[in-house]
Amino acid sequence: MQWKIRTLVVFLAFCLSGCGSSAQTEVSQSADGDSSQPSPIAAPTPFQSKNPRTNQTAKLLTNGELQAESADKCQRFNQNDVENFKTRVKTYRLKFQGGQKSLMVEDYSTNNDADNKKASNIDESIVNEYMLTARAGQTMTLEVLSSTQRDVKDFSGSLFLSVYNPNCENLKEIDLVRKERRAFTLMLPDAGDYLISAEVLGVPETFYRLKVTIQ
Amino acid sequence: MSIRGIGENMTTAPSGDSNNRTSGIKFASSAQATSGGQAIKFITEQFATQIISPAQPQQDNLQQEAQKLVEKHTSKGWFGFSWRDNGALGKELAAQIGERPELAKAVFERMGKTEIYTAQAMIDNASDEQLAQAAKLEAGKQLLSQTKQAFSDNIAYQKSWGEVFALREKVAADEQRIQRIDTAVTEAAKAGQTTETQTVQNTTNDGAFHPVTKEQVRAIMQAKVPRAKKSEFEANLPDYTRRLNETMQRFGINTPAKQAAFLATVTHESTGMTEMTELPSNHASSQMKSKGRGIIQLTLDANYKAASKYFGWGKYEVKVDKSGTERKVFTQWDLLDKPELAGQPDYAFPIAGWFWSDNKPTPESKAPTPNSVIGDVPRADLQDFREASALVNSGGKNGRILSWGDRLLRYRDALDALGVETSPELRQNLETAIRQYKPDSVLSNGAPPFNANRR
Repeated sequence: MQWKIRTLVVFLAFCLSGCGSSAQTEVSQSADGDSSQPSPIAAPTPFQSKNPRTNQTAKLLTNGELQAESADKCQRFNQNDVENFKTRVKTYRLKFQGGQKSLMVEDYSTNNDADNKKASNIDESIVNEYMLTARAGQTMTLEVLSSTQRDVKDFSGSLFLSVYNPNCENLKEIDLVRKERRAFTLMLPDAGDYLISAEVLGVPETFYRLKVTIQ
Repeated sequence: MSIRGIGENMTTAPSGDSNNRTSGIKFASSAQATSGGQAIKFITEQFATQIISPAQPQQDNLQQEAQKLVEKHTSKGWFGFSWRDNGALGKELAAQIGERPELAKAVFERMGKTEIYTAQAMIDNASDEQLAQAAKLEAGKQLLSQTKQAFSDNIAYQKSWGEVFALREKVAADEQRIQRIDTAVTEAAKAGQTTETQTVQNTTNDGAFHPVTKEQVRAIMQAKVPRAKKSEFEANLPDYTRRLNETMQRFGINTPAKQAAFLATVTHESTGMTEMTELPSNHASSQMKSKGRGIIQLTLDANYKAASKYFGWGKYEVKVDKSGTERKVFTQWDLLDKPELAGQPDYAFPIAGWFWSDNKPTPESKAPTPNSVIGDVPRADLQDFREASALVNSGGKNGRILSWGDRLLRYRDALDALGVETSPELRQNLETAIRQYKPDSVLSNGAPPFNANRR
């Protein structure tokens, strides 16, 4: 009986070590250009928006720095949501110039759910995120102003703002149109990177200007 | 609802007739068939008290329609003698029972002397789907219960025991049929799936309650849902749609026009049912203990107190006043003690219904409520929606309605999603009002006002 078990163990050990390397070999052979290799899985075609304004990036209107940010710090959107709801998230890092307390960006947001008449080309939603570093105890004032852009209707008053603390907890949500206000101030309890999210709700698109003041 | 009534007015099967007991149905002798008018009376009463909402403004039209229907199947002979073709009348009612159970009710009322044969013909000629639809449209199983009883009752009116025995097989088949309907309705409710009934466009002002579908709720609200909350919104949608329907049915928000105004308002107030509690801000209302909560953003101590009182959420004693009327005297109000309750769905939805339909100084008060100022047909000048909105939130300067522009956008979406019939004049006025809306005061930062018209 014992020899049977020993044989089985040896056989299993052989299989575990041998089978794996064999599979790896097959893969590497295929990658070398063997004509019999299975056709590679086609990469999903990136969504092409019909909206010509969709690739516009935020513009800085005052002194300071604005950089596109690739890291998704708070991961508010999973890939399924992005695909299912056709959402494009653009993240920027804002940096104040020395001695300056505020800066202003101009940006563009869309909401494809609000395009209920399907007459325009709003086929995806654009959510803009702005990251900035602040110290504990500082105050942040957000002010939304109308853009001087004239090629779309001004619905900057329909913006929805969310502010997340350095732990990515939702600190504040502001539905501007409900409050009929454009300026809000909040205390920043912790030191670190804060995230401001801006998206238009209820209407298809808008340009806007966002003034951020930290003091 | 108890379904006692028909069977209890009948004798049970003769002793020794074991066959009669196998179906579990009580039989009556033919002699008692003449008192069987109570059967239809029962059905009629149940229609009136359990299924159909209190009298609707279009009740007169319904009565006229019912009268015409009865007359259509009534023939007149010499000396005022007349007779009615109950089978044909029942058959015609059957064709509409699924979508218009209230018409059957009106017909039974119109006939005065009730007729079991009409009811029986109606049931026999209605399809399973129509009966299921009727049951679903009324958001309950009452109609189904009555149907079951009427099937059983049919046996009570046979003239001989031979006919009774002959009907036994039919009853067994009917029982199975009802069971099938029952199961289908239950399963559809459990799954929260879109069924044929649920997708019926509630475009009719027939006085019956037509539930909205989750697709319709989505169409109304999705544009207001922040992207980061889309998954949460979708996950809650079946449950919230059910709660909305329960609320609207309970509080008489039962015509498409009323539903559109109500749903537009809660969409605006709660950012598409995603903001159940106002986060702290420097906005005055958010600093209060009784800050905006729930799908209609109930605010102020007085409203929290009134809602507690209305729903009996708190401690109270029942006292009799000088006029002999019993009054609840509250000593503790749950919503004041635990205001966060108002943001929970179990409280948030009924509170919204109450605030919209029944928030009055006293139960006897004739003060207008948002629901009472919305008619069955939307007004072309938007005055009804304007007045309802002002009753919900006129916190602006000089009583100006806050966020009137967004409310109009939501109203337009709701009218579209519910398929409410509107006049071209209303559409034109709506678009013009949306285009011209400018909040005129609160933009303290010098920015141009919210102007939808600028290009």
